[in-house]
Amino acid sequence: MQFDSFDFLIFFPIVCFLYYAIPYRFRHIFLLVASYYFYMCWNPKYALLMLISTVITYLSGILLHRANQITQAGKREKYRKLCVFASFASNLAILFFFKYFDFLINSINRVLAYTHVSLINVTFDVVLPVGISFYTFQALSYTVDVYRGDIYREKNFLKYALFVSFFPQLVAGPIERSKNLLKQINVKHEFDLHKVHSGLSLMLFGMFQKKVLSDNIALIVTQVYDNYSKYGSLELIFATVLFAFQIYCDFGGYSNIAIGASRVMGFELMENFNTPYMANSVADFWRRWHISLSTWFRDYLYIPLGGNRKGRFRKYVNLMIVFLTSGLWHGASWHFVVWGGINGVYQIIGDLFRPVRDKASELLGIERKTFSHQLLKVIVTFVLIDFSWIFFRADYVGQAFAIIRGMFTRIHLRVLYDGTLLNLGIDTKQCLVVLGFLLILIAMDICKYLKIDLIEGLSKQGIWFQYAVYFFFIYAILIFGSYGPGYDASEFIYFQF
Amino acid sequence: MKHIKQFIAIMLFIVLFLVSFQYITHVFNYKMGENDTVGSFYKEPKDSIEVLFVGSSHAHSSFSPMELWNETGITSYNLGTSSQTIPCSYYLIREGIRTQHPKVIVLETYGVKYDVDYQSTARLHIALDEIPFNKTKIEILTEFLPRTMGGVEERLEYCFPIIRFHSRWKELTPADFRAENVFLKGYRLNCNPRKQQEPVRTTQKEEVWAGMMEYFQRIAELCEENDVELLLCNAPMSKCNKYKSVTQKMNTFYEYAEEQGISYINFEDLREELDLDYQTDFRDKEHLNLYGARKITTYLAAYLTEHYDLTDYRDNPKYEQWNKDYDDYINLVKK
Repeated sequence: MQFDSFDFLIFFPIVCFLYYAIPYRFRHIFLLVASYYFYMCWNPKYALLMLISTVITYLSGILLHRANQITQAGKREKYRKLCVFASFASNLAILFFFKYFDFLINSINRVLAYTHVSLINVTFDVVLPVGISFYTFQALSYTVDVYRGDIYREKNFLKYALFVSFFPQLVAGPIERSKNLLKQINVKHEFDLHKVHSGLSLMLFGMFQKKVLSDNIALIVTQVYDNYSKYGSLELIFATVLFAFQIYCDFGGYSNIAIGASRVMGFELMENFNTPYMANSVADFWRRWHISLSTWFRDYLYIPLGGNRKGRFRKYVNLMIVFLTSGLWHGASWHFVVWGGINGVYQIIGDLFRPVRDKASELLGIERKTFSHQLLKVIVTFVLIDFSWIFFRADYVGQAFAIIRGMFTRIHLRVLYDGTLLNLGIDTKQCLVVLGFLLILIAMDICKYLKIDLIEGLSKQGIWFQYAVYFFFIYAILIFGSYGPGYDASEFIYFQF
Repeated sequence: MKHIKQFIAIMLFIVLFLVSFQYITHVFNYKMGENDTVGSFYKEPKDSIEVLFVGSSHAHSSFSPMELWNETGITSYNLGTSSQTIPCSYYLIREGIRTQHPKVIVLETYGVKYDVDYQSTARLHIALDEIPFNKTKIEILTEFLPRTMGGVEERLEYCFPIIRFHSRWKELTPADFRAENVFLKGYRLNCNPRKQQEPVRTTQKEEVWAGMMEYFQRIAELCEENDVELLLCNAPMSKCNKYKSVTQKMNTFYEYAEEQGISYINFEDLREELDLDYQTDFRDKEHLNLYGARKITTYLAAYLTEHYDLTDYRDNPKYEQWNKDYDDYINLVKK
């Protein structure tokens, strides 16, 4: 079930109530059952897949612990590495089969088509299990953490299974670390009204991001991207800028709901998005965007590859590996790989040209700490990131190039004043409302960037003010949110009869 | 102390939410034309209505409570909604009896032509949305709608109509916040004559739907239990495609009513008595305009005073508002 479904609106309060009502020692079992139920609402069969991943990584923890007891150093290392290898190989094999098999076959076939060799026919259809990329990574982090000795292995299988399947963050993150979440499963969470309050506020805000902003913006973006050849430069740019906010509000909103829902039950998940579009460089962006994934790649791929300790060339190679893999993680398609690649290249170029930039600003006497210079950096970073989003959003690489070409060739300035921009996919009124709410979001992000904690600050205000804010967001969602079968005035128009 | 304060704060939030949610739902609900028929009905003072008209668009085009008031001093309200089916009429009658306990219910029987529970989801909304959350509403959600709608999600929008209507924010008018022309009491005013042709009367019969009859039975029982007189009637139609089938079904239906001893008036048989003029009395192929409605209402006024023990409230100071309403009504008619 989705967070923005009616089912979840019923499911979540019941789970929370029972969670606090039952004795502590049963709570993890209860949450485990609730989590599996949550997951099985999509497709019961896939729960089995998650269970397999859980069992493998659980066993890897147990075996690593045993291996640690081997006194002979060489043998010990050999066994330890074998455990990690087995866990990674089997988990990645499952992930690969379910997520990338079709992609691989298609890619091979495209190459074969050039060489006129007969194509491979696949007779079975693989459907991507929900959240497989998320929980697989989360489970794998446990294997490595135990291997590194960062945490102790978890003996209780049920508690470990809950760590992998914890429903708030199961299907779309944040991808938690055992160091954080597994430990919290062993802590008794007392009912804390302050936390519940804060969690619910965060969920409300996440829902606002998802239903009011993301889902409405999606209507504009879909309209333009699906008919890109009909639109000129400014419409394409407008839609692309909006897409940056669509994906931020979608993903960030989902993360906020996940973090909020966990907080209601006393769990504190890691932050996943920290005002990403306030970043002043691409590298900075990646420290603020989907933090749980970026740090996963840093901790479990970039650093094991040698990170930046093995010279500049190796650092660049490692960066590219990380970003290409990240692209592929986002979806089994070449346009995601290109998107990842662009982000890798940005950072390499940025790094290579750093001395040049330093020199240039010194020669030109640019004061780098000024607001104007910082703002310029933020804008340039946004443009670079947004450019890469074209590849992310497009259905295939060729389409992305066609859209970019359109941006530079079909320039019609009249759309600026003839209202075209406000009538893409949604009508002018709706578009203006969405843009107005977007300004609120940007203002809130600026506050967060300036280290003003709005949720904490709100809880200190007078009750009338708090309620006014809550009702503002609740009714913004209920009225302007994108949900329901839709109301078509023409269906009602003949009702004089 | 702290806990009590917290508890009060939470309760206050919930109450504020429920009140505001109900209000917003009402604002966003679709209002038929300018009169919010069902919504305004609930605003009538309790037990102040003696005759309740229920039925389809033929009901709200043919029975004018203000004309009835002027002629007889009988208080009435017209709960006719577009293409209302008999099951929908049943639930509206239930609510009518609960809030007003009228002496007579006049059921207009165009609804017997349907072999479905509702004619379109939009019409279901118009008939039932304004019924507040009570036993009737729960029965609608748990008993009536599941007859034809499988999924909970499909039914949810009848519990929370805002699911369907929230995007109406673009077209809200002052009438959505405050109903206009409340004095029409559900009557749909139209003064434009359109020439029509007189249809050929048929005495043939056509079978009616059992699912409809089941709900008609419930209406009859409900009226009997509550000591409410039930009067069935139709509205004259002009020559149109539907005429034959509708009247044939009504023939079957009235035959059944006769067997059961339920009073009915078949206006198709009273064309001469009414002095119905097909040149001036219709607003379209099916529906009467004000001139036609006046003829029907006058006939009903005589029938009602003759057959039932109804009160003339014209000189009762408590009902002063009705006289004012009539003035407003006449002003609107003159316009």
